[in-house]
Amino acid sequence: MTEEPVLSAAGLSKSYGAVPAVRDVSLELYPSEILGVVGESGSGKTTLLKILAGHLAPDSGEVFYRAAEGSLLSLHRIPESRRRRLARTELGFVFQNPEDGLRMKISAGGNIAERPLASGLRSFAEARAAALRWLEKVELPADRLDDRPEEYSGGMRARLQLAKNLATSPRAVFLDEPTAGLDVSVQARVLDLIRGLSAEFGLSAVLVTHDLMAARLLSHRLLVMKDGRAVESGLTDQVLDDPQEPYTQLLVSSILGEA
Amino acid sequence: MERSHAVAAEKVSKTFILHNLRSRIPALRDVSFALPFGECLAVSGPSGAGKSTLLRCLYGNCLASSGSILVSHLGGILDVALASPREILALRERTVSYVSQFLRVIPRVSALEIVSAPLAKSGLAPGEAREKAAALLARLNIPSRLFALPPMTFSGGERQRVNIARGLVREAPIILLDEPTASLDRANRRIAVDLIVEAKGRGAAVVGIFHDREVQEALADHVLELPAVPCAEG
Repeated sequence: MTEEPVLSAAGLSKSYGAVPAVRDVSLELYPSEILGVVGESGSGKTTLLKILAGHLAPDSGEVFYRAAEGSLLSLHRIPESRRRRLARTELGFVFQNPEDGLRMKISAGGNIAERPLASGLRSFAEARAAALRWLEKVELPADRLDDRPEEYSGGMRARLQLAKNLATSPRAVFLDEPTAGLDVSVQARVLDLIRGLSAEFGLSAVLVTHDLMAARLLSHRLLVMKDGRAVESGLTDQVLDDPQEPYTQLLVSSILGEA
Repeated sequence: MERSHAVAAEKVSKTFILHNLRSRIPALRDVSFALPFGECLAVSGPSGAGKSTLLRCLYGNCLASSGSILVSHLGGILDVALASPREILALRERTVSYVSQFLRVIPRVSALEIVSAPLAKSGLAPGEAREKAAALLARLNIPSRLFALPPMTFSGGERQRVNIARGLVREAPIILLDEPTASLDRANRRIAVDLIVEAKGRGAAVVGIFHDREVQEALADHVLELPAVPCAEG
């Protein structure tokens, strides 16, 4: 295939003190592709995600991002200001705890409008209209627009965080356990939302999850991590249905029910 | 592989290696066949002979341990046994359609959306895709009041018909069927068979597992008999 990746990473490693968190991981993410990253807690999934998103510098290795204007950027070598601008516009990051990704004391509308305003939208009326549209897309009631996230339930916060990230139509989002801690019905809603956005707008995503069912339903390809290494990767259903590595086989056979 | 062939498997073997149980489970040994466009190959054999495994190898869901699986794809030939994940994704999007025994979908997605998705993906306008999907669902006797509902709430037979509709809606050049009519009543089985005959008529190559003898006789031009698999190796 001739299509170019939106994001590619080569030889990423990162240690916390003497403890290696990510070891020599390379990957590529293509337009409108969802890449699932699975593994137990402590396997380095979140650290990898932060490095890919530009939030955390690797000890070694490089992350390349193909910007909307066409240039290829080494995400950890560009100036901090450029990286921050990308993080507010073309890239999105959905934290496992919505509280980390939201301003809890600012209204929901203000949270959603923040990114569009930062990326050049001048009119507050337009920002408010956009915020309402997104509130509807994530199925939050319009009359909660002026409430603060601290008045929201956990599931509502999770959806609000998604809306906030998606309001600038990012090209790639990084999702850290977006369904963890949510009611099953809300989980399905969030999964459906991410799938729809990817199919409709060509959004690419890296989805870190320990939920193999979510990974199966959403991701095209899968990366399995153990002790900071990518031990297996491939087509999602192939990795889950015909896992090759001992660890992946253990992971797949350990889940209750069918993934 | 000859130009008229859709699929040619050459000495395909598959052994599942279960590391944690320290066992090797042979599932397929040296399976070969060649299937021209417009014809149907029924894969037959006793339970556990590897029929589903063979289909899964053709679909790239299962990695063949050895051998080659050549498929006519976008004017060229792709060896599924060696293809990269992204090549397999393209193969599934453009060339090969698969009707599994069970429907596996995101909980909240409606039946109509599930069936129209493959069309929308191939570039058809959303309205047209939905129209075509609705027509096929109606032909499979899914009442229109169910179109907007997710199939999780449907009966087994209805779910399987949604699955068949999803697999056949796109007129793929190669269709894989894993017991597509297993949970259908007689009338709906008849309709499913008609749809598969029509698919063959427009040139599709079909590889299927049919537990129903009548269905197999109505569809198959060739039968590939898989022998019972040798016992597990230590």
